[in-house]
Amino acid sequence: MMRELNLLIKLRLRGALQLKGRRGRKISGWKKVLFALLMVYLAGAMAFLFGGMSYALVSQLQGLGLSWLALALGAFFSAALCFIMTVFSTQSQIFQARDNDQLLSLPLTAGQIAASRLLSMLALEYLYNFVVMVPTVGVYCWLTRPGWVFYPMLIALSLLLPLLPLSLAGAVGYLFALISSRFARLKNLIVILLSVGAFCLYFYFCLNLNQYMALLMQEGQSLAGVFRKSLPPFYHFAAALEQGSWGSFLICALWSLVPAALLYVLLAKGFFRVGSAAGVKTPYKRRPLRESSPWAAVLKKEAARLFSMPTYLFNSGVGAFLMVILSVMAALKGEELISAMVMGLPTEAAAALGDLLAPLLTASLCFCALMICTTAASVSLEGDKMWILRSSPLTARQVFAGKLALDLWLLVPASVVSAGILGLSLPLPWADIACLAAAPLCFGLFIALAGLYANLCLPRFDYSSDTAVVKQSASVMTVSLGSMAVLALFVGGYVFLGREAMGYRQFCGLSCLILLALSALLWRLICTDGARRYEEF
Amino acid sequence: MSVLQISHFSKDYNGKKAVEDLSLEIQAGEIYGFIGHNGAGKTTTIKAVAGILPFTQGEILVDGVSVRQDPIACKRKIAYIPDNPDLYEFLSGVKYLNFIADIFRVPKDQREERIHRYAEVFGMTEDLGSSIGAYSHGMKQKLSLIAALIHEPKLMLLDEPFVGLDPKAAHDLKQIMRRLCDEGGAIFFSTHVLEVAEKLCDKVAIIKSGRLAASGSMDQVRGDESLEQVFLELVDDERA
Repeated sequence: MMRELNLLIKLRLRGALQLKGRRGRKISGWKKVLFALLMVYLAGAMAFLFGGMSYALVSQLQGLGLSWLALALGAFFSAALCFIMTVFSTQSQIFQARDNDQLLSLPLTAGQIAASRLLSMLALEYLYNFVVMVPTVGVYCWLTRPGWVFYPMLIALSLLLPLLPLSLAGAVGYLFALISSRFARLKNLIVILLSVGAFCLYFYFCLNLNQYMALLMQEGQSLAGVFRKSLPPFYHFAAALEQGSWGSFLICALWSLVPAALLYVLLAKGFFRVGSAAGVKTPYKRRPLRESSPWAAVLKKEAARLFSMPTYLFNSGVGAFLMVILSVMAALKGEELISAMVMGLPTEAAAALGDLLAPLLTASLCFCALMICTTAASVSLEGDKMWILRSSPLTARQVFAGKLALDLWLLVPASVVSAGILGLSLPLPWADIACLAAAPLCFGLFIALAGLYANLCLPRFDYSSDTAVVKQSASVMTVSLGSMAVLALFVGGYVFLGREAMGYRQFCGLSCLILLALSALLWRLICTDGARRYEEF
Repeated sequence: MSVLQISHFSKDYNGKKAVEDLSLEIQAGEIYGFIGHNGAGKTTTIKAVAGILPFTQGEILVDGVSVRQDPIACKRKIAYIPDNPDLYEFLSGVKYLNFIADIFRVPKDQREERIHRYAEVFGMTEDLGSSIGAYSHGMKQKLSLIAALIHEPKLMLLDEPFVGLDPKAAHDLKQIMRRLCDEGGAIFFSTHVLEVAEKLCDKVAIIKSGRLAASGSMDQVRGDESLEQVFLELVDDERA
């Protein structure tokens, strides 16, 4: 029994964590270094974020005897991160995993399959928990010097607490799988609407985070009461650690174990029903067909794929939504924010701050533009279907143009609409509005081309879940990290050189010209070296 | 002029020969069966003809055009169906067929007429609106056959086309293959079902470990024996 379970867990974790090169070959050394750098960067960012939060809370609330709130909040954020990272993958990892039928045909019990899936997801949750809790607890321990009981309890509770978000994510995923098996045609719409809703909520929360932190520090006592009543697992997590309370330890353990056991039973009993749910049939009504040129046909096909995969849409197109949300928020709160920022400042400083408005907005829109990159996964997503394009009378250039057009189809309207909203709502000259539109367009075009070339160089075809390609493939990670570095280079160039030497508009114009020249070079590279690689797939 | 002419074609994977010095010719109107054991080199040859697999040794001409020099022109004349046709599961059947028609630039009225004619033949009309993800293996096979027929290819390359088809669809496919050849086209297909090859093919080639073991008209290859006996004798020769 345990041997089979071990094998299944190893198999799933290998699929989730292993870096693979082209056609499943071992990945080269420099790619491992790149991946390690990305991980260090992410860990550093998380350490800075949560360590800073813990420091602010503990130093402010320790005097009031409420330093436990830092631990409770850390546990809450860790659970939230685990939930967010897990809930979307429950479909691909548990309920609609591609290997469901294959595993069900083997001499394995549904319980073993369910347990292996849950345990491998739990292992990943420990990783997420680690990046949040290590800086949070590290800063807490440094400031409060807890007794020795703290440490064994911390280890035990850290192993137990991620079971709670896992159970919640599994339950939500299970419900979603049941709904989608009944309303299959609405499945993607439901996921997209839920994701947009969750995203707006997250964005609203981030915008008001400073306000919440201030409120927490001012009214710690009353909020502690609210926390105790409404989020008992996190309260008892913190109470067990701070007070060494075995009662709280037990309650927290029960909060973690009971839902996990329930989920396991639910999965083991209902696994077959959800696992074998197939799509529904739609009656065919004969309608006139629309003709398109070959590259437009590729574009339409790519768009259909994007909107059929909520994970792909959100990972590769989130920047377009963000860009518009950002400009709407700037239009609604921008004036208020500027007035608050310049209040009390000398006239010269206020004017200097006003001059920074357009560059800041441009950088923000460019940051959103780097999150629009459908191309970095689009070649890999062809996977087993590559034969369709390769056996068709399509040139590599036509295929690439179709894939690139999808990216521009998201980027261009988002950039133009955002620049329009900002231009109409903020007191900006026309030249600045033109820069607000042009800079993200040029930057986004460059990123889209870089994504396409990266995916041609680093394709991944041997995947068991599309989510692995969209979220974890080497090309996606390389472009995400690389585009941030390029943006940082331009921002640094403006702050340290451009601002003094030529001013914002000239720097923006020059940057656009550089990006366009680089884009032309990249397109040439894609049509030569990229096409050669494509012909070998 | 030959619809397909393969001359001295060789292909190796990392130094290991998959196909060696293979030559054969298919004329218009011929159904050409390609038989061999698993791993003999059938799929490699078919993929090279379809322009999917790059090669450096030998020459492949489709209707007089070199696959290596002008692959796009060749692909316009070809329809290829792999042994396991993975299709875009996010598209509905009719959208997939329209996508293929767009790529082959089939005029609007012709694509509509052909899609509905072949969908009717294969009993797929009712399913065209459903997502391909909801199709069975056989339905995907039928859809890929309809897609292959939309642009009325001069040469059809089929890798194990009868796998997964129900008896009625297999019968209809045989008729369509014969009609396509009667109208001047040609078919090159691999199969393990020797009875089908024996009944359907005008010519046959047997490939063994990447080399052509026998080829010619059905009567020339089998002589007084059955195709199965000839095939087994050739395979046994190698094992001995």
